[in-house]
Amino acid sequence: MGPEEASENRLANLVGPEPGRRETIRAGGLRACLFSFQAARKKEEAEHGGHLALKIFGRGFDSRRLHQKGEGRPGRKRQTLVRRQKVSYIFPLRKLIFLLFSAFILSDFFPFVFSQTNNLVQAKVEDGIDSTRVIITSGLPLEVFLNKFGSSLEVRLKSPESLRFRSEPIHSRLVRALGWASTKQGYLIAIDCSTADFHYKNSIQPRPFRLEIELRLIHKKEELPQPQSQITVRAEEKISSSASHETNAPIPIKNIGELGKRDDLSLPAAARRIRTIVIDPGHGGLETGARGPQGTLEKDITLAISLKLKEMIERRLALRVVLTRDKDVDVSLENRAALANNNRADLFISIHANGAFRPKAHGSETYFLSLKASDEEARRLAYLENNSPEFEKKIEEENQDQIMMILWDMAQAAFLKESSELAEIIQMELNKLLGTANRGVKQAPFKVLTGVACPAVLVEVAFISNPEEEAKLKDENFQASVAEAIYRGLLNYLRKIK
Amino acid sequence: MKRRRQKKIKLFLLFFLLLLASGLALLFFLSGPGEKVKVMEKKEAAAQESSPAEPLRRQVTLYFPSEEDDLLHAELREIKVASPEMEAEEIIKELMAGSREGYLSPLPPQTRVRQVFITRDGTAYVDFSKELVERHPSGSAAELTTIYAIVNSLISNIKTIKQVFFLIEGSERETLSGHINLNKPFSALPSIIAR
Repeated sequence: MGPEEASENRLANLVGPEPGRRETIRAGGLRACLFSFQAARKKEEAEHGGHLALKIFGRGFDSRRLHQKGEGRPGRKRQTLVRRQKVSYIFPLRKLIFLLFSAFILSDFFPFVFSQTNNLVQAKVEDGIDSTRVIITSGLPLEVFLNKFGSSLEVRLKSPESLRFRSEPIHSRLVRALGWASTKQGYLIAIDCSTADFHYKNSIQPRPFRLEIELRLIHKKEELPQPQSQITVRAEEKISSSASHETNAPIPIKNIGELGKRDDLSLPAAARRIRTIVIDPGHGGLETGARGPQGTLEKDITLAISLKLKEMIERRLALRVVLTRDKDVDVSLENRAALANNNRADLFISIHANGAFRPKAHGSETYFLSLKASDEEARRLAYLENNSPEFEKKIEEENQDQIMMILWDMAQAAFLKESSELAEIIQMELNKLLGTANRGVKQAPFKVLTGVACPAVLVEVAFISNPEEEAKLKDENFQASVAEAIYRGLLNYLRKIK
Repeated sequence: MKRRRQKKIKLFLLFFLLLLASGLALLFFLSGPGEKVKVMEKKEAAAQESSPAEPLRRQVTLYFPSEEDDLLHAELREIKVASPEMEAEEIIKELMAGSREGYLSPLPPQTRVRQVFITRDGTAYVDFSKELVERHPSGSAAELTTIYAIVNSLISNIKTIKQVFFLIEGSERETLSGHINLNKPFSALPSIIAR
C-alpha cells in the first residue's frame, strides 16, 4: 500500500468514523501505525474532519508521512502535534539501548577498538647480521632509563599514564624474552639475553616515541649458534689466563712468585667447580641499613669489608669475584640475587652489620635461609631434597633455565644444606679471629637469600647499635680481620668440597 | 485491539528489562564497597555488644624483648573480649604501649594499626601505618624482634590466627629495613621465647 493510498484511506476513515473506533493504517515505509479514533466521541468533531485528523495525529505513533499527505489542513496545529509524538521518543531510545548494548558486548571481544591505542607500548626484536635490535614504540612520549644487569637489560619507562605492553613473538639468537612489569616508579621492560657479554647502544625519537636498542656481542668470533657454551668458554678463558687453573699444565713458577701464596694449590680438584663468588655488601644508597649511636651507617661498613674481602680472594685464589655493588648505590634485594644468578655464582656471601633494640646486644652471627614453605612449596621442596643429586645434575644440562624459572621464588631451597655448612665454617673462623661473642649460626627468612641459586650465607659481623662494636666496625684493622675470617672460612669450605 | 495490547506488552517488557538492567548495574557498582561496610558494622556490633553490657575481659600473654637477652619474655595482660580482629588490634596496641615489667617495646610507639583482617584459613593480615618502617631502629636482630613479638603474641592468644602477614599502609612490603622477608606470612616461633 503506497503512501498516497494510505492517506486517502486515512481521510476516508476520518470523515466517517464510528465513535470510539480504532483502526490501523499501513502506510508506505511505515510499520503498522495505530490510529485511535478517540476524537469521534464528540459529534461536532466528527463532522469537522480537520479537527479529527489533528486529534488523530495527537495520538499517532508515527505521523511524519501522514503529515505530508495532510496538505490543506491547518499547518500550525499539525506542527504542535508532531512534537507530541510518542513513537519518536521510544524508537530512538530502543535503538540507543541496542547500540549501547552491542557496543558493550563488542568491546569485550575487541578491546582495542574501544580503548585508547596510544598508551600501547609495542616491542619487537630483529636480528641483524652481527647485532640484534630491540625496537620499542609508543604513542606517548616516555622517559627512558637503561640499565644492564648481567645478562638482562632493564628499560625503565616513566609515564604519567598507564601503559599496556605488546610484544611480537621473539625469534632471536641473543634475546630470549621480554618481560613487562609495572613498578612504583613506572614501568619496566626486562630484555633477557642468553649471555651477559654484550654491549648496547640506544637511540630515541621522542615523537612518535621510538626507542631502538642495538645489542652487540662482545665476542664476535663465536657467533652464537649455542649461546650457552659461549659463557663457559669465556669463563674458562678468563680463569686459565689469570691463573692457569683450568689447564692441566704445571703452574708457571713466575706466577707463584708474583702472587705470593697461592691458596688454591692446596684445594682439591672438586673445588674447581667453584669459579665465581658473589659478595653482597648489604644496603646502599638511600637504604642506609642500621645506624650506630655515633651515626655510623651499616651500608658503609658492609661496603668497606666487602671490598677488602674481594681484594683478598682475588689475590690469593683463582676465582672470579663479583660485587653486587662497589659503590654507595641502591640495589634492590631481588636484583642482588638476580645478579648472582646471572653471573652463575657458585657461592654467595652477604655482609651486614647488626642492629637491635637493646644497646647491649653484641657479637657475630651467620645466617642461612629459613624457608617457611606453604603446602605447595613443601611438596616441591620435598621433591628437591629427595632428588637433590639429580637436580644438580640437571642444572648442568640444557633445560636448566626452565627449572630455575619454576623455582625462582625459592631457588635457595635446593642449597640449604651447603649453605648451612658454609655458614658453620665461616662462623667458626669469625669466632677464632674476631674475639666477638659467638652468637652462632642461625636461620631466618632473609629476603636477599631467597632467590639465590647457589649456597648462600649472610654474615652479621657485629652490632653497629652497640657503641663498643660500632667503634670496632669503623676500625680498618677490624674490617680487615673480618674479611680475613670470612676468607679463611671460604677457603676451608673449598677444601672440604668433595 | 490486539496489536495495541501487543505493543503495550512489548513496551512493558522493554521497560521491565531496562529496570532489570539498571538494577543489575546498580548492584554491580555498589556491591564492592558494600562488603567492607558490612565488616565494619559487624565489628561495631561486636564492640557494642561486649562493651556497654558488661566489659568481659580475658587474660592474654604478650611477648616483649628484654634489655638483657635476645629472647622474648611473657607478660600477662587483660583485654576486652571481642571479635578476633578487635582482640588482635588490642594486643598490638598493648605491645606498643610497652611493658609494665621493664621490658622493651618491640615496635615504635608512633605506629598505628590500620586494620586487621583474618582470612578463613587463619592468616591474619595486619596493616600497620608507615611509622613501623620509618621509625624502626633497623638491623636484622631488631627486625626479627619486632616481627616475632607481634607474631607470637597474636598466634598464642587468638585461636583463629595461624599465621600473620604484615602490610604497611595497606600494601605489601619487601622488608622492614632490608633484611627479613615480609612477602610471606609468619608462623609462631616458640624457640625465641624465654623459658
